[in-house]
Amino acid sequence: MNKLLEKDVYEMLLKYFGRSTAEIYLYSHKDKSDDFIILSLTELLTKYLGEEKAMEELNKLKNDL
Amino acid sequence: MKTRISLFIFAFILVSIAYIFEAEKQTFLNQILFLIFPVFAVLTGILAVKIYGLKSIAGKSLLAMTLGIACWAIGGIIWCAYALLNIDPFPSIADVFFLLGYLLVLLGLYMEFKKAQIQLSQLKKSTIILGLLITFVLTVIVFYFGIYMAYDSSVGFLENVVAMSYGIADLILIIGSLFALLMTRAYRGGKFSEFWMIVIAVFVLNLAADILFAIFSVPYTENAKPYIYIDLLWIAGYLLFAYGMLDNYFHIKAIRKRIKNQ
Repeated sequence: MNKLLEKDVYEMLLKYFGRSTAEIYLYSHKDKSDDFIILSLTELLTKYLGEEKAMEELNKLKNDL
Repeated sequence: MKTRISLFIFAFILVSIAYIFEAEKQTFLNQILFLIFPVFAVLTGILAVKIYGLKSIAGKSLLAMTLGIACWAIGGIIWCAYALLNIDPFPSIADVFFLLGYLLVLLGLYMEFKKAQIQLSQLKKSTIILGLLITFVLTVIVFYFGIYMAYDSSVGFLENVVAMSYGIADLILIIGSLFALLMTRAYRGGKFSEFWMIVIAVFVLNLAADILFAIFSVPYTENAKPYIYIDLLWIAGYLLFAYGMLDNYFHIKAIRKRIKNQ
């Protein structure tokens, strides 16, 4: 995961799911590719935030790629 | 999840039975029952705040809402203590806690509203018109029963100010319901929207209870039946709040498990 994406993923996960969840995510995904991160976040965010909000957040993250 | 819902419904049925089949006057048991639920709601709120942590807006907003419920719980405890000592609990320090609770709950909702970055311009015109119409009708009802009817020329200035303040607090609940409604829309289709639906239900129950209390405050404070059944609306509200907080807690637990398994 690139550093810019890592920072923004952390901020986004912190906002919606809390600090520990954000830290667990980054630790578990530190060796994963950017594409994998986006795919996993698409599933996670769509399930909990709904499709519209998930797309809104993911579009912000895609700017980091 | 189904087990959790069943447990909450079962708890509510048990309380309702205790209220309906108890002696003519409100008993010590009923007063204790009335206090268990807000305390339980606060405990579940603490659990939810803990899992989010205070570094996140979600944790801070849930904390504000939990502190609001805690104020209502403290107010309830003071109210019951006065009642048990045969002292008129209205107006009293309990009212300070009750009224402060509304402000804290609204603060929590406002923080969430800001976090969701809701663009009002994205809403359909029909949704805005319907929302404004419902708000207007509720505001008129609350203004009439909670503020206008709350004024009693036979009692003192302080008592009138406190009684009318509850009407103003109910207007806060209406604003809060609007925030929650917008949040439900923002997270449409997602699991988090369910929490905001629960919050709306909590506010509607509280609003109904507050309006009924404003209309029947005299027989209610005399512990007469069926007026004390108003308590059941507040209890249902506390139970729903606790359910919502637990739901939030278990969502985060599930998310962490899912992340670890990826």
